[in-house]
Amino acid sequence: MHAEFGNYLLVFAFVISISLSVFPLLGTFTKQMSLVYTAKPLAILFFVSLFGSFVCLAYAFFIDDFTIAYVAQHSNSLLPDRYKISAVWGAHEGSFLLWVLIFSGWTLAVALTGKNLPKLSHSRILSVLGIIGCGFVSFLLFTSNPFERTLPFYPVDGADLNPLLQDFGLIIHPPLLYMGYVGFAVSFAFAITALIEGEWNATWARWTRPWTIAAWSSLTLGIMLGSWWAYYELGWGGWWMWDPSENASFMPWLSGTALMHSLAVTDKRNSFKGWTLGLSLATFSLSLLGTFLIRSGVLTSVHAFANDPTRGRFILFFLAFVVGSALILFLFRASKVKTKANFSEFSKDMFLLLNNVLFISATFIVLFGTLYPLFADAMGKKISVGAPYFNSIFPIPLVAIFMLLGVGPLLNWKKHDFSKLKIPLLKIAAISVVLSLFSTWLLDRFYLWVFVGLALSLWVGLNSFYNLTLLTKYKKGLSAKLASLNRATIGMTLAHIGVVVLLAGVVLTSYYSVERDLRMAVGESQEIAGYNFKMKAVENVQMENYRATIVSFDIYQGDSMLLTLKPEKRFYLAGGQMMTEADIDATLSRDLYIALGEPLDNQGQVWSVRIYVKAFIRLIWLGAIFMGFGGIISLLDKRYRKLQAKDNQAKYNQAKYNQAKGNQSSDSQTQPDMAIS
Amino acid sequence: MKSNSQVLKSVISLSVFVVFVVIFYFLIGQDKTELPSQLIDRPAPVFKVSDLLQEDLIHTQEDFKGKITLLNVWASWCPSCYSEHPFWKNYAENKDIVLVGLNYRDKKQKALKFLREQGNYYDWNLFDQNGRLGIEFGVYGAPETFLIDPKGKVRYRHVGVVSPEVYQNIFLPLIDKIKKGF
Amino acid sequence: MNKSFLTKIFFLTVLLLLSTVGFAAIDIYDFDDSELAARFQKLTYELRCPKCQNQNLADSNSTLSLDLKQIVYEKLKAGESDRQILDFMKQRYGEFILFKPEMSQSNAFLWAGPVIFLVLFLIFFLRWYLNNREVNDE
Repeated sequence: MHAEFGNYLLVFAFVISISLSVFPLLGTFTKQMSLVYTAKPLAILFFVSLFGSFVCLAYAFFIDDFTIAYVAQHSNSLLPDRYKISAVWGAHEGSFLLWVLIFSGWTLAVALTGKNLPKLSHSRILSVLGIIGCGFVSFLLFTSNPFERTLPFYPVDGADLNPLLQDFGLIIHPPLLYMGYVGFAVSFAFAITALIEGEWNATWARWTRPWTIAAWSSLTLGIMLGSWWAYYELGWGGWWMWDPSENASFMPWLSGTALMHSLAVTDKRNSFKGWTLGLSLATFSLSLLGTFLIRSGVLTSVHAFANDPTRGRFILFFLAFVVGSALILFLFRASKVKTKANFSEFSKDMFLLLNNVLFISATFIVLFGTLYPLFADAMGKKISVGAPYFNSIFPIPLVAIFMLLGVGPLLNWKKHDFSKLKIPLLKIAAISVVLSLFSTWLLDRFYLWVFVGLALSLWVGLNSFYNLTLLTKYKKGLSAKLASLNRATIGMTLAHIGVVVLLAGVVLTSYYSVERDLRMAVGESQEIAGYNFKMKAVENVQMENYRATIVSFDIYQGDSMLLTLKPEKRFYLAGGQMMTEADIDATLSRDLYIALGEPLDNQGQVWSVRIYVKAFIRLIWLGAIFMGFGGIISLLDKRYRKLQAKDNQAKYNQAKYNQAKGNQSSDSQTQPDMAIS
Repeated sequence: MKSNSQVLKSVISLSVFVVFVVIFYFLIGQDKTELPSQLIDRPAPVFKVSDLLQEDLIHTQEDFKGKITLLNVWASWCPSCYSEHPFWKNYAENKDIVLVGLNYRDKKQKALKFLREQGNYYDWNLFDQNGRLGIEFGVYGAPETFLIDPKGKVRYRHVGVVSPEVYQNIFLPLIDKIKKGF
Repeated sequence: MNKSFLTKIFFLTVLLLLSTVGFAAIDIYDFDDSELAARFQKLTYELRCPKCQNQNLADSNSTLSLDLKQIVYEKLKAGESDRQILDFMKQRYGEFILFKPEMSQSNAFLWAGPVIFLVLFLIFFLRWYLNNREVNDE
């Protein structure tokens, strides 16, 4: 019953999405307002039907309805309830339903918040989203229907959810990640609408900005959760493998970062409109490319979904249609725009544009390295482009980005007097180098990259604080100073501090972690990085849906016992898979990480064991969390709410005004204009 | 008003886009995990390994010379080998070729049991207990099958089960070619 | 030597034995030389497991990758160079096994491509800036 209902709702959503893509758009051209006004109710219905469909599938998992093929393949009656929720998006079909649901959620949000947009634009935006939604829903309906039945011969029990996915991280990682992926569809739709209307100005950028920041923040947190999950769940302690599927999500992230910064230029200075438009289109196109790469089976990857050529072709045609038409529209409309470089070489504009050049180059590196082996394969050459390749190329734009990032936020729009900044910048640079040398000296061994990484971190971090002191120099007292900062500035600073923390974590963990592969028997012990690991006991236990061998280790520092870690080797009953469950003790400065390898004797008393002491690895995720929340805080800035109260003319004037006052000192906080700048 | 350079730019961007889409189209549905053998048209690697059934009988790469050889990598722990094995009975009837087994990373007792129960169609078997011979051949899973010509050169490697269709469509034409002296 | 001294020694020895808590574990890949251990880590990180193709040898627990790791270990102990070990792997499994593609002529585009892109992009941007500059100095 629920399966049929869920399926009907999907079909209904399909019909709605077609209506949404046709009627409002048609109405905006034929000036039939009755058609134009259908956009909002259709968008609401689109979301409601998909939400209903999703609930149906979740319910099917909950009651173990193994007459549904998808449930039978990815659940089991022994599966704990909390994992039945994540099982809904544990494989291709269900995860795509979640994907479409989240997409419709964004559409709904646009429908409900667009009161102050010009009515025609608002409806066009929703129609463009409808076209994309139509592609997504038909993909789901025609190639990946999660409600397909196994009748009449349905299994007594399900095949179980992949044990790797029976985990808390997997409950929250996909929703956030998808929110980021499809969130860029909103800025895409704004850009397409601007191109259709042939009019794009600072207002357009101002409207796009919060949506882009929201999508970017979700993607940041989603990727961070994925990295954290891989670290503790896959059992080899890696936090970023440059795996093609990671790259697939990293490309829209990098390009989205560029977009966020170029939107700031377009918003504030009403320039670089063509450039920013192009980036909006490119970012969502990269999201689609990532979807194609992961779900079409053209990649060999840990996370790649089952290889079904029809699906691959469908997404490719959809991608070709969406990206192709966007490209044509862009080439016809936006290439005519000539932009004047109305800023000096030492200005915020310049630094933001260099940021763009570098971020796009970084995106290109990831794209190039990910696609190269695929294309080489097509020409008959098997080659691997893995982590060592990216690790040697990627730092090139990265180092430059960090050097610029230290200065950029301090500068005024249009023109900045370098002589005023010269002395403080030199001082900060000197302090950064000295402090970095001092820290590497404290850490007993000198590595060039650690020195460079820490120096850059300090450079950006100290400059961020310097910027805050400049912004608040006329206020007395810490609380007054803090209160005078607008949320956009706080968000930006937090995000930049996040980058600093992340970079420090990356270099420290890469060079100061200790990894050992040991053969250990009960009673034996090993000293690693000042900790003594003693293998204490082996016990076998029976859990809900698996049997586990748990080996406990006592860890001593000097004479005192710190704690006990209990890594497991699990045998999942339904699917028969073996799983390594690492046990980790985490503090800010180090993780103690133990993962079991294989038993080396018949009694199970001797094991191959991996013990890692990972230095400062938590900084990586902490930094990413700062970045994500920095984005969210800047979203709460008053300017975005104020925006809704103003009409278009006022906004246009505002843009003109900003342009005119571009030369003014950035110290003044009368205008809340510091977001992501 | 459009200048020539703008038209040119548009044409280039669109063509690049189309080329990408076409390449992606042809990439769909291919098996990306299969690795090509590095030994094709090269002599079989040098080795010295004892026979599975007669420990004191030592085989070397010289043993491949003079006849067309099919070298089948198998193991008792490999599930696909059980489904592949019955086919070898038929292929072994082809008296022009020598059928050699490479028992890969196996325990001797289990390997012998496999041959007892599934039937031994091999002319002889290499016993590669520690997997080192397999690595010399670039084996990365079982079953794999190598076609070696009378000069001792590897001509083809098949990854996975050699089904009658595979044998008919891939191996026989190659064997014919070798017989004709190519 | 008086008896109490011997007793003291005895108790000290017992205490020492107790405090060392059992026996030490053995490294699976035991190197006396930390430089060799670092090279081992680097090599197993740069080699791709042909069986489980998303992992490097260091991370993978598949039988084949354990065998290959053992070979890397033996060859390092025998004094072979990184180049020799990588070549050994490449001869058997092809360039595919190298996660870090060789900087050879056939891979020139792979290595140079991103750098060329970055440089061209920068030049393009700066040229545009210098040609379209329109800032009035006050």
